[in-house]
Amino acid sequence: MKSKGKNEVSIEQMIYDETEKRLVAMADESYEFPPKATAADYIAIGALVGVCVLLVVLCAAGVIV
Amino acid sequence: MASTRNADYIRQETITGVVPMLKGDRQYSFWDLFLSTSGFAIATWCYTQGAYVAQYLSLKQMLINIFCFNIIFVSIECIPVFFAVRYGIDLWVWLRSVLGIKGVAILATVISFANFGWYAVDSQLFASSMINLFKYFGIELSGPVWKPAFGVLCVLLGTLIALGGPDVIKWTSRFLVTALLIVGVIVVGLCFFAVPIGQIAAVKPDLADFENNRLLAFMTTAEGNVAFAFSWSTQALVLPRLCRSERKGYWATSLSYGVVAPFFVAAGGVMALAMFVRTGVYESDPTVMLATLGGPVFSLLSLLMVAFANIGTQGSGSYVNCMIIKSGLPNVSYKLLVWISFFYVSLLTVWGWVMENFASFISLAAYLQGPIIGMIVVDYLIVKKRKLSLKSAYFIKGHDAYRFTGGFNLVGIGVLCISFALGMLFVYNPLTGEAINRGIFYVTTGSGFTAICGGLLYYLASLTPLKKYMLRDRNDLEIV
Repeated sequence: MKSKGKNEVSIEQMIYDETEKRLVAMADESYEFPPKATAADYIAIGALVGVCVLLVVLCAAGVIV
Repeated sequence: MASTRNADYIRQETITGVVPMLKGDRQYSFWDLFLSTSGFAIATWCYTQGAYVAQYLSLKQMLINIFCFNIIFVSIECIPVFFAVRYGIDLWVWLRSVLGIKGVAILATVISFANFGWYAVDSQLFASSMINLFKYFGIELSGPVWKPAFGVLCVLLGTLIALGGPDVIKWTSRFLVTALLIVGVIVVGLCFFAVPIGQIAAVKPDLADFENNRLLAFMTTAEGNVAFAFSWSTQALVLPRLCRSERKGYWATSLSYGVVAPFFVAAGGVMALAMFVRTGVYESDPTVMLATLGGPVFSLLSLLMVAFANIGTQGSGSYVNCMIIKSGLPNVSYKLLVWISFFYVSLLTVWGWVMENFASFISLAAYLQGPIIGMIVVDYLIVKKRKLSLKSAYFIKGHDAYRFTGGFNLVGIGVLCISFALGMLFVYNPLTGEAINRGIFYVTTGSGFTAICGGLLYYLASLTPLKKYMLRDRNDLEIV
């Protein structure tokens, strides 16, 4: 029981250390993040939602039956 | 030897745990993520959903209802995926800043256990389809014996896939999903061939259940589709971190849940209408539908669809939901969680309650997820303005911005409880199916209301002195 407890602590510590190491790497200026989304993505999302809302309104209003 | 073991363990914790993924760890291209997520999204519950919607709407309205409500809500709820990809974390880590660490542990576990209800439906549909299929080939199997047996077999095969982790899921999905998409298209085409489209389009829905109120019927079926869209939300927040770019992660995820899954719901709806023309019954079991409409060849196609889709869904679903639980309970072994989920889903499968109360179940689960979706979108775009203290989210020493009251962010938890209660008491009761305030229900639906209310209340709270409590991380934004 005692050794199991020790093992759990060490696993927790191992995850913590690895996480900390990775966060330090991410904070480094030389770390390259994945390519970012652009305004085009947000415009496409807005347009898609807009068209869908319009179709829903036309159905709800009885224009499309 | 020990260092090799530790390195393996860390690798495992990165892929099947909460350790953030660095650039080199990421395995998924657009197509890998799209196919894996689609594999997860395609299941026979899509047909159950499609048959339900088909009863109350014309063909055109049904297609618009299914695709548009799913696209609207999935597109919005997936926006925070950009963040998940950028930092290689699942969004339950972000939610530590909205709900607190104990709030996440409890809600992640409750929601995952609710999500597992879908997999019990999945395995029961698999079982009944298999029994029907054997029947069409002249082999009569006893339902009480074979239904639980096939159901548990489906859960077991899915569990074995989940134990293999994302790499096995990736390769299983590449083959299965491509095949399933092709089969789905063929099936819809053959469906229209078996029953002319003119006859399918001419079916007049019976609105007696809705006082002959067309708008009430349209919005009640919309409630089902919004709940369906929400059902992916908490699970949608896990896989994208494996992807290599924000754009690919977002579009692969939102197209899978917003277009591919609804395509199979629509296929189920079209088949249900075709079955109604032929037999007078809206059938939701694809095996029965296809065998009736097309004979043994269709039955074999449905075997491919039903068997592979359900097993693939069990595998991806087990992986994703165990990952959600791990975000709240990071020290519990992934394999142990997968096996616990195997026993839990098997138990639900044999019990059968979820399947018998399908509509209530999906709306109730959506009522829990709705406020979380609303809060996380508002938090990401407006309140925290896409900036999180990652070190505080992981409770690194000296970074305590997200150590809230007893482990709970009282604002986030309060907003969740209020939104849930308001939706339940004043808008739509998913247990009875009653629209309490039709004015609001016609605009937002019940599940949509919980999301809008959650987001709005959270935003309003950020305008009050509570802002100081919600935004304690502004001096601790090192990684942006």
